[in-house]
Amino acid sequence: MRVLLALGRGDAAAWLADAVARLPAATAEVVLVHVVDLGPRQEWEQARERFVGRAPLSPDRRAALDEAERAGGEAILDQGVAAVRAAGYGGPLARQVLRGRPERTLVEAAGALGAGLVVLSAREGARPAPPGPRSVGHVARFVVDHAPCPVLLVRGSA
Amino acid sequence: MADERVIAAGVVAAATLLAVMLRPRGLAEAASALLGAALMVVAGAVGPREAAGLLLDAWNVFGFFLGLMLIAAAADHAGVFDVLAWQAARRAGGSQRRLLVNVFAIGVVLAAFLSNDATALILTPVVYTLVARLGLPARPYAFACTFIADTASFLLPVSNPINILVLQRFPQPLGGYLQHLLPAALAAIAVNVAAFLLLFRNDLRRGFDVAALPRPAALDRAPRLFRFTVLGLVAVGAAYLLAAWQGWPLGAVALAGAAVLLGGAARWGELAAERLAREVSWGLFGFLAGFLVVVRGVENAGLTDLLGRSLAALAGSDPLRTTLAAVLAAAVGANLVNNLPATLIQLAAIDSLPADAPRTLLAYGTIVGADLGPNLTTVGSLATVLWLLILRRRGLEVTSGDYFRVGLATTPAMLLAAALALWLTGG
Repeated sequence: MRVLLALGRGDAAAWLADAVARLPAATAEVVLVHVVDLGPRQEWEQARERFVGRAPLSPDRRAALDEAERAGGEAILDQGVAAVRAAGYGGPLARQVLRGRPERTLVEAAGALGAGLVVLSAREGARPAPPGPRSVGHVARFVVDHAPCPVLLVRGSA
Repeated sequence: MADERVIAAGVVAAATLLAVMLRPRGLAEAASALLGAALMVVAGAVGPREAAGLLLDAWNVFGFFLGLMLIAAAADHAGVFDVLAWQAARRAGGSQRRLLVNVFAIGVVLAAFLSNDATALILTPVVYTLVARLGLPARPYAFACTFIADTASFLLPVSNPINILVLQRFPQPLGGYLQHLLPAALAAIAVNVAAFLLLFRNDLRRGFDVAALPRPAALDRAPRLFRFTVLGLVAVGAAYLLAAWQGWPLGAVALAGAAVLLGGAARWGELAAERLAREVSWGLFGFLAGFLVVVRGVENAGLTDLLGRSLAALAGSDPLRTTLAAVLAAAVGANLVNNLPATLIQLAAIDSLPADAPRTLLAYGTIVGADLGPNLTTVGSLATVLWLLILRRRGLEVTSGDYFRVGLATTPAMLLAAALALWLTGG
């Protein structure tokens, strides 16, 4: 079985890794995925609309931004890989940095990878939200609702 | 003026503003404004000589726009923005709250001396790249750059081309400007920073590590040009202050500063004319030129007198009410279409008031409202919001409107704080 482990910024990687390490030995492969959220960038590009006659973002600035997003995502995955290994998982690992809306991109990735399980934080951030309606974030809620396979939500800890 | 000319001027002005808002067939704002200006002349609301004289008289503003954009582009090419952002991260001690405050500090200085446009258009992608590399949430920082660009843009006369337009019509000594608008700007900046620390407190909790951050390439690629540009920018800043104090035309200072900085770039073989030309917002010149003529047509037709009377009625005789009226009117105008035509119209309206009207206070209030107002709908004015709605109807993905929410949450408080400060400093 292939397990998609979704890592967001500031997620409690150790807790997610611990959850992965507890999976039964039948787990064939863990794929760590980080989705670069393109929302803020699109919003900012729209905010530029206001400046009459503004020049488009120069190609080298655009390239630098793409590269920074990729490198930032890889750094998050590096931490995730280290945490998964530290938690005692010794099986095969793969990794992917994707771009788009996190919730939709994760669901699509689960389908494309043929994942048998998606593991993700109930809510982005290192600290768990207090119990109640806010304890599950919008990304996790969307993935629970739309993923083509079972979903394991992990509530992090400070 | 004959009645039909008055009607023609009103119709042309309304059609021009509408075209800027709706951009029929993707018509550029500058093209709409120039078309409106041509129609104004054809309709006889502005004489051809008068229009030409108007544009020649505005050389200072045009020169300032051009000089400003070239200076900002030269600073960008030399890596000044990258190094500032890099230092902001290095000096934050791993705390996101301090990083955000540092970004605000850079934004304040850049907006004060290089204008709001340069700050919003050039600093934002640089800071965005930095926080993406650090794996931090982009929203607080990207929003901080775009918001502070406007919030800090009435610190000095050179901080926003709008200020130059206002001061061109109602000249003020630098001392008077600073006495009235410096406290107002500082009040708005304080509200802006505090509101962001509060609004984004959850995003800012986690610390970060700067070890992953690469050294800005410009420091190694062209270290001499970098040092030259930094010194040049400091000199330009000093020259701006001196010129504003002495009443010299700021457009000339900006153009001279641009020539010096670009000369340096040429000296070290880093001058890329084609790239430079691409980074100048040429459309802005047509937009300003067009609206100078359109608004003059409205003024000649006596229509701005009506607005002046409405403004006078709204302003009353109490200084606090006058301040609030001027700030509010300019902010509403800036959000309806764009702050540039809104300012031109409001200036004409103020000019139509009797001699004993509190013109100076109204002019300062116009600066505050027109500079700060765009933060309300940062995605632009209502014009842009409409445009985005049209895009959405055509099926293009439009994002969640977080800018809009943050703008609605923070801008009224900033406007109020700045207006009160302006009133307290002797309105």
